[in-house]
Amino acid sequence: MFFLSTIRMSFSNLRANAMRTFLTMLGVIIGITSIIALLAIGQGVTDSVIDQLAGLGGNRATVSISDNTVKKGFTEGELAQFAALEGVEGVAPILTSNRVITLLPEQTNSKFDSAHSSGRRVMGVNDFYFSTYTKNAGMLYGRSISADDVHFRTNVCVLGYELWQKLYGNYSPIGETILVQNTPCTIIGVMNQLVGIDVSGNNAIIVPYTTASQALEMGLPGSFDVVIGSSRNSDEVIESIKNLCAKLLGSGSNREMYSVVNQEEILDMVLTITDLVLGMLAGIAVIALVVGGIGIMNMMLVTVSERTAEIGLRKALGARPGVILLQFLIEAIIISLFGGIIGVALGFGASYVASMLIGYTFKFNPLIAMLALLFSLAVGAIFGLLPARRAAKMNPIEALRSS
Amino acid sequence: MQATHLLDLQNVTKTYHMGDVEFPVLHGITFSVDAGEFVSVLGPSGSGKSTLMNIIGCLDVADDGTYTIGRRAVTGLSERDMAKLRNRDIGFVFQSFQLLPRISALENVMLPLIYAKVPRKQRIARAMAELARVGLADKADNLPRQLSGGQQQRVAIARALVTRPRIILADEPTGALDRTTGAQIMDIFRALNEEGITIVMITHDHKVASYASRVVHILDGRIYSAEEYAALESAEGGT
Ligand SMILES: Nc1ncnc2c1ncn2[C@@H]1O[C@H](COP(=O)(O)OP(=O)(O)OP(=O)(O)O)[C@@H](O)[C@H]1O
Ligand SMILES: [Mg+2]
Repeated sequence: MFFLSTIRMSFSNLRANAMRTFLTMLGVIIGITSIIALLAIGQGVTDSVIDQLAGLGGNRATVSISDNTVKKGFTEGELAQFAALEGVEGVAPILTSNRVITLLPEQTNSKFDSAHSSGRRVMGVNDFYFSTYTKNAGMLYGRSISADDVHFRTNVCVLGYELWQKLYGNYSPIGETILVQNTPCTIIGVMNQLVGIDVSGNNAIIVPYTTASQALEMGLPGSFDVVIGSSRNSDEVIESIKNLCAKLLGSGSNREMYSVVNQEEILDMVLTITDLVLGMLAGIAVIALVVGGIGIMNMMLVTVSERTAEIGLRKALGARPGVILLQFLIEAIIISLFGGIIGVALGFGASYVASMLIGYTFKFNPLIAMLALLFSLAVGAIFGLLPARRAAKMNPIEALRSS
Repeated sequence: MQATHLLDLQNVTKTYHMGDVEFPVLHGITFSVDAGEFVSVLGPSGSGKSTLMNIIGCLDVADDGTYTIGRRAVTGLSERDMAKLRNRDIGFVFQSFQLLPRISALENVMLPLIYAKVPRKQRIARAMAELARVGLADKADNLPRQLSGGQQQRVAIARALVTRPRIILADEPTGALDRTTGAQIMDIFRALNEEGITIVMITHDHKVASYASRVVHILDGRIYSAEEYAALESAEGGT
């Protein structure tokens, strides 16, 4: 009851100085908004990275040759040895390079009337690429690259969704021919749009990696991904992969010359970095809120000295020092708590917008919201205390005389 | 010591200090007021009237001597208890009205009841009743600046009355008003006194003081009854 009338009084006082109140609040709003936005975005991105890595099925490792003077790359037969290891579900080499591609009017129904050439990303992959990386995407038209295409180095290609849109528009170009660096390739399929972490395929011409190695002169794959069955102890499998690497690199090889990086390790690393960044953000957040708090303290000190006569009168009418203290403390808390509420709304709003732009799933985390509100409440209480105490300690006679 | 007095000051002294310099303002004030009286304390500027009023109003404490309200000794009370005493037993009327500018007349009158922890419904009812008593029931929703000086002082009187204090303490209540309006305010005080309300009023104006049923004089921090003062004046006139 007393509380209610105090709160009502505080609101009318704050409204009487709406501009000043808002500017003071701005400090807290900015502080809380940035904390919430960064936390929410950070969490959203981490969550979706974890989700997507998990979504790829099983654990993955990246095998690469670090010292290419020892060995240029892996041959088809060598890759087959890795694929045959116990616990390995498959290997996915990816060769990537830019090549000139040409559409000839007599070979296509595309919108180009004369020969059209442009530099495009060419990716050499195997059949496993389609069943792992693009698992959920599937084909818009035609079929994907098969194990036979890889084995027989056929001159076929699959178009990424965006590239297909750019070059062909809206019809199925299956069966047409496209020149990739003077090598005619038959289009056998168009992929659906990829979403997620690795969307490089959207803008590429995808060919069998063996074709890429030979006809397109893109060399042997120096690195490739291995998918490890989820039922396996990945440490053992990784060990056997390392042994095979050592054997293939020859007797003079050592651990420096190749690397086998487990996805779990990468994930751990990502999470450690995320934690570190979040810790630093928390530090910045505290600084931002301290600055906001100083703003509140400043405004409340001005308010107290402006309202000296009012304080004197209230004391004369029987307000105990504690009641005066409470009144000014409530005013400071209202400023910071409102700033906090607005900040939480704006922060999650920013995270929502970011989720649309970056492409992670937006989540409202009530715990973060609660913590932010508690935090802003504490800022008001801490920084409002000094001005409120000054008001409470005022001598009523002198205060009354000030009018 | 007579327990029958409502207010009783015995040998109250007050000295202000400014650095090392001492300014003795009240020199052994002995002064009492009975319930139902209307006393005015008359004295020139600087004689210590406001200092005395602050002590009577429990806004300040005496350096020496005793002060009791009812049977309760005020000397030595905590700030908390003094606030409670001001809220319950004393109604202030100031020269400059001292209304809060951003709230309505009614809310101004309700203010002391907030600190008395009276529920809102009762606060409104009691404040309305006091506003009606000073003839301002129709101005309840006006802000102070939408009222004349005399009306503002009537709101202040209603606020002083609303806790039903033992005593109304007024310091130059007509000081900021013209003669006619001042006279209206004094009529209100007289009418309230006739209803049995105890009033102590401080003024430097003889005319205003004459509304009271008893006048005491204060001069250089000493209190004189009307008779003592008359004697003093004739003695001075003689020399
Ligand atoms: N806080 C203070 N510090 C020092 N001196 C003070 C203080 N308050 C009042 N005085 C002095 O005490 C004396 C009495 O002051 P007081 O305010 O009681 O006079 P007053 O009778 O109310 O005068 P007025 O009619 O002008 O209001 C004055 O000389 C004044 O200067
Ligand atoms: Mg005075």
